[in-house]
Amino acid sequence: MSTTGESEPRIATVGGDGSVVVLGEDAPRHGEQSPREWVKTNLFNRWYNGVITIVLGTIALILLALTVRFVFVTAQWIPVRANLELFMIGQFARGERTRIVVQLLLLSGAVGLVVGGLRQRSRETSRLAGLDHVPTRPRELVGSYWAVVAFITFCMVVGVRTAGPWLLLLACIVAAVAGYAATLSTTRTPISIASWLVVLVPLAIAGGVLSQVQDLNNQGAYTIAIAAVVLLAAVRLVPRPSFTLSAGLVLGAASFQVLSGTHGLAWFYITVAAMPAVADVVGLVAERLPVVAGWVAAAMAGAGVVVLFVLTGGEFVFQAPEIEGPLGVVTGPIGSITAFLGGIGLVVLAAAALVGSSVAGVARGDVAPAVRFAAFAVLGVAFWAIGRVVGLDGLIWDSWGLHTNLVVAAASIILAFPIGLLLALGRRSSLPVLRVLSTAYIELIRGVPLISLLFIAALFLNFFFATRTNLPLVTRATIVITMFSAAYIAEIVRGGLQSVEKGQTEAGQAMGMSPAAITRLLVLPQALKNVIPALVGQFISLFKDTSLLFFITILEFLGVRDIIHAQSEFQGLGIAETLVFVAFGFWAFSFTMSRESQRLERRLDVSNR
Amino acid sequence: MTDTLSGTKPSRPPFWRDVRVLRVVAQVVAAVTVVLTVRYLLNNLVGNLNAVGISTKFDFLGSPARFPVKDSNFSPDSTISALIWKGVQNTAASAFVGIALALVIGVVVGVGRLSTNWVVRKLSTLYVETLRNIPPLVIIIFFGFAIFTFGPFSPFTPASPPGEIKFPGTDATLLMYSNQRLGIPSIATGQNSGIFWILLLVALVVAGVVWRWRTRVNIDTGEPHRRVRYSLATFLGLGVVAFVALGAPISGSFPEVSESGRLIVGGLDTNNSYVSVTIALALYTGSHIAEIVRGSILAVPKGQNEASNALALSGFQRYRFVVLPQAARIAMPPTINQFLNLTKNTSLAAAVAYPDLTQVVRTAIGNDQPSPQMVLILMGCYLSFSLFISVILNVVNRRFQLAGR
Repeated sequence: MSTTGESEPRIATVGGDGSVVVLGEDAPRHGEQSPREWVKTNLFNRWYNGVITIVLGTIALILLALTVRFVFVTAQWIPVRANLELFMIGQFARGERTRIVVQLLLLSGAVGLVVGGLRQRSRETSRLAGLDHVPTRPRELVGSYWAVVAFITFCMVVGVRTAGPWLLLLACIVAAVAGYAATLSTTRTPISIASWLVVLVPLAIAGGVLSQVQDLNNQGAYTIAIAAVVLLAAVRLVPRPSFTLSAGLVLGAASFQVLSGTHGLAWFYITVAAMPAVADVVGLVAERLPVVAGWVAAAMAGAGVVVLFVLTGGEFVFQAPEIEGPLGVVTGPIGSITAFLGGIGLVVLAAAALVGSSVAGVARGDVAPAVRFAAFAVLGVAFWAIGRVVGLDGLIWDSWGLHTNLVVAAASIILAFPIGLLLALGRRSSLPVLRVLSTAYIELIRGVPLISLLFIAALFLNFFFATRTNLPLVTRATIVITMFSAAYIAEIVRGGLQSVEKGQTEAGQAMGMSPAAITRLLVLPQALKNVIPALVGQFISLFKDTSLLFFITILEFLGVRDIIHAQSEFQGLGIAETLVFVAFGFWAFSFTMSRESQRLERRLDVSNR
Repeated sequence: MTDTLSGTKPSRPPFWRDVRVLRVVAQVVAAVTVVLTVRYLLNNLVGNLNAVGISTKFDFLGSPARFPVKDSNFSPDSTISALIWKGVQNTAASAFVGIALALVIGVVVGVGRLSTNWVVRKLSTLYVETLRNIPPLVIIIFFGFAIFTFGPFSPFTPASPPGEIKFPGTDATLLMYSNQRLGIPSIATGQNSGIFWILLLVALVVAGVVWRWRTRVNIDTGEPHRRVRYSLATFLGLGVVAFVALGAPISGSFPEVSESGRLIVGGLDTNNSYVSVTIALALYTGSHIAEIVRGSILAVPKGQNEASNALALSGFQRYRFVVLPQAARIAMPPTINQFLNLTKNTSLAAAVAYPDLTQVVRTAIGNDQPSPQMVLILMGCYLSFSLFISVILNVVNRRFQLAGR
């Protein structure tokens, strides 16, 4: 499979958000040229090009010199240096810092695991398809990640005066590498397991030590750290991609539970994260189960959902003392949103849908759906119970600098995706009412600027709910940003749906599939694969948009500047420098993500053809 | 179907499996759910607002605003609706100029990214990759504070004059700036200027007629049309005649330091917050448009380029007559999207206190006007902006697209 540009036609398209996709783009090739020839063709091929080269080249060199002088000589980085912590985590409670440490470690491990799991899966897919697996070249990674690495390095060099952050960075790298390494080998010799323990045991001890260093109120973080280690070990023992992915996702979910608490809907996230592994295992065993097991499983699925409803619904609606409305006020940031989104009606609907589809499956002789749902329900109850026992209290979500930007963007895109998907399907539905409602929502939201929605969040969103509901400001902002992104995601997904050829649907119809099955099994997988890069683009613009939280007095990355320059010692000092630093931070993350999405696009495309 | 053909009555499935019934039921359920939810939310809103004593009526629109608007003759006695109209004008001023600038920047940089000149290519890439990955808000603040706060401060003295750039070789000021204001030359109207503008319009029409005449000559006889030269000469000739005949109805207005030595007067009426917002958004959106332009040019089939080369067209001719017209068609819809984005992004002007729509609404809310109604008006205004732009440009777009595609 040749990917050299020369032989392929150039194909380029412009995505809905204006992102440009260029496939098989010709890289300028000057391997065979002498330097003299290269200069002639690229700099002086026409007389006017010569003039342009000299004029622009001079300007560029002057700009470069000025930039270098600014960064290394004239710039006063003192405000950045003195307030780096404020930039990164804002006014995070002093006694709770350990949570951030644990969160970062878990997240790093999760990233390592997920990357490794994705690699395992793409290898397996290639193997099944009979293709050569194309490994990622280190050069590509450097091309993507140098910006973020440069930003972190800059922060470390400019602003860090103690050993702590360096140690944390080192620990994060070790965790990420450990996560990745866990997925590497599939052989289980005693030596490899022993070598593995050499890595894991110190990690567990480190987690324990960390939880004792500062007052953490309870043992939650430590328990989670231990659970992480157990998970890593499990991944090592069951080398299946789905397990690795699930383990990574569970770790990721757990890393946020460290902040938002294991009360609330922790079970929900962890159950969702466990789905790939559960679905995989069920797929392996379901065929050998008798039909009666399917009926039992269907009953268990329904019962599990009802139990969860009674347990958590009771917690949210009826019992908890701080609850002040039907949707409740919970301590965790994301928990409260889910409580908002997953109201009582949704739970009832979910139970009906689960039981209904399980029964329908069993009636057809397919036990798998019922067993899968039952497994989810049982897992959910189990995780709920674990959450109760572990009992880590959540923090009220507040203004946490760059942390806020990243988390709000991530939470919004994750929560907005299902809504956007439904809106896109609604907009393409053949039912006029659904179509009109979806279209109206999408166009209304896309027609107004985000800032007007943020005004709603800041000023009177609470008034839409029952009296005395008091969601935290960041939660309200996340709700409106979710509503906002859902409309954009809907348009992206719609583009993906339109890109799937009609023949696919017709083939499904010819096979006698139901419309729902056609959408779920034929159209959506292809459509979503096509729009992954555009979704990353939406995530980037969402991340940039989180700077708007500045307007509603949330202390995010940009807003930190105002606090700094309000201090008497930094008044009027380094105004440009702090702004350049903020711009650099936003730029580094956005640039890396956009490079990653381009890379992803090339990879997806290669595997496509 | 077979049942009908064979003459027996078609048997219908039970109603819970009948698609026709299910369709109706699904729609009714959806509509009822949405209506009930919206009603629940609105009831809560009205109830809660009444409980805290905030009015839910719109009669505040006629009451006086009680605060001035920066850099304008808006008096605090004017009504809230006048205030909103002022904000709409300011937003439109910023969006309109910003869109024009962004388009120019985008096309130049987008073509520059495909230049054969290595320096141009790399600089364009640098520009695009930098600007498009920084939030527009940061760019606006950068222009608003980090750059313009370092401009020369008033009062000006001969020892500390405002920053100044002159037309090369003359005494006329091209650009004058301080930390308050950016002055650029403009046109000052004098006597008879109204007639002059009308005459200029007539000249434009005549030039258009000349253009069509030369085109027809070219088609009929085959001799070179030279329509640009002819039309331009007609327009300029008529313009000069009118200018002389009416006794110099217009003159140049150049920025200069006022007598008190505190202000920059004359020239186009711009202040730094307006300039910051407009330039920052033009630069930001320009980087996005550049990517669209580049992608569209690359999407023009390679054969078109090769055909132009075979016809020995020059690089300029190839772009002007073959590549760009086709690329424009591809680029049109996403570019319209970017125009809409720019218009919505003018709402970030509040960061440098430019009194655009969002900023005046924000100030009004700060001055105890009811927030739900104000935000509703704000959203309505932006919705109409978006609709206005997309309707106009969609008409243009429809004319642009090839028929039958």
